[in-house]
Amino acid sequence: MGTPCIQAASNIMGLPWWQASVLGFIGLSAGGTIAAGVFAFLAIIGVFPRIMGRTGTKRILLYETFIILGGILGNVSDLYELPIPIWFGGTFILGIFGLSAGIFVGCLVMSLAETLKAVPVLNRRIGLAVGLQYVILSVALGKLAGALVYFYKGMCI
Amino acid sequence: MSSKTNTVYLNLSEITEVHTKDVFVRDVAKLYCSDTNIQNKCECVKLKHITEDRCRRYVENALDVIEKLEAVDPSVSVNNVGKVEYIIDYQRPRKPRYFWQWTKTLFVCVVCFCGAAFAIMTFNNDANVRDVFKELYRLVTGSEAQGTTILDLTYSIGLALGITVFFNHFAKWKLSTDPTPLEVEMRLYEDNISKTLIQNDGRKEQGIDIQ
Repeated sequence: MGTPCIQAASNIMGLPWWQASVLGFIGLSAGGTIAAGVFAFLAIIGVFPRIMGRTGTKRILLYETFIILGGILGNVSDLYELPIPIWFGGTFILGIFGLSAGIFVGCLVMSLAETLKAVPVLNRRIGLAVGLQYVILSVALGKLAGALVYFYKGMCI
Repeated sequence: MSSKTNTVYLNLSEITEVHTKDVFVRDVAKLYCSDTNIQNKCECVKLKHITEDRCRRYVENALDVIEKLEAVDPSVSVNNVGKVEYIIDYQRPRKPRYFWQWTKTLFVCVVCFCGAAFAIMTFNNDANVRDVFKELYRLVTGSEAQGTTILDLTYSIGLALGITVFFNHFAKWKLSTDPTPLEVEMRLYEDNISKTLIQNDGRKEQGIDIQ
């Protein structure tokens, strides 16, 4: 009589308790470490301060809350492949997501290039005196051309 | 002329936002003098009259302030304990445009949300988290994983905990009184902007320089 009850209680998601606790512990630690790593990278690379500085808005706590929500929900929908309920205008919402992610990644790659000091070093080496804005514009256009070629000429799988 | 010296301690802040065209000492600095009368007089000294009608940052020097303060009274001797170069950030006075401000805030919120979601998704795919989890599952249990496992669940919980601990808060609820990482980064960013403005102003390099 008692055995199935104990069996059920000691089974967590179809696993014996010790296996479940080992896997659970691994999962928790992995999640915590990776969250710290990925988000420390995002915070340090200076994308968010730059966007805030450009728009002149300083609601830092609110933005952080949205970063937290984005991280959590993005991860859940990625791992669980959750169907996100889009009742109408799914293409429109996807468009907004694509645009925002594009702006974000654009800032990210340029922050990365800036952190690595690629452009300043090049400028010093060849003694570039005028037209820095055109260099920056060329970088942006190059990124745009690269992204378009990548998506439309089948370079991605 | 009195032989007594009144030491005025001058503490200029690095950058000050002003909305009026007449800038006084009390707008950009804190003063202290044991003689309150002198202190009040010094605080009301006019530093600058902004003639241009546009938002601009002016890089100024403490030496001019000291000169103007010492002209107030012969007994004044200035001791500068703050910045040597400082910035007056003139912003045209205008009505707060709440709609526009909130539109920008919404825009930044959407970019932050989608950017964070995109970053974690690309990380998961890049590092092939799913396959690693399958392998780990097989290693511990000896059987193949069917669909999502406990690893996915606890990974998601751990990720949420990690992000919250890293950012030190969730919404209004704060874990400790430390400033959050973004607040720290924002201050660093603003400091760098001020430093660059001051350095650009003092730079007289000929020929090769960024225009």
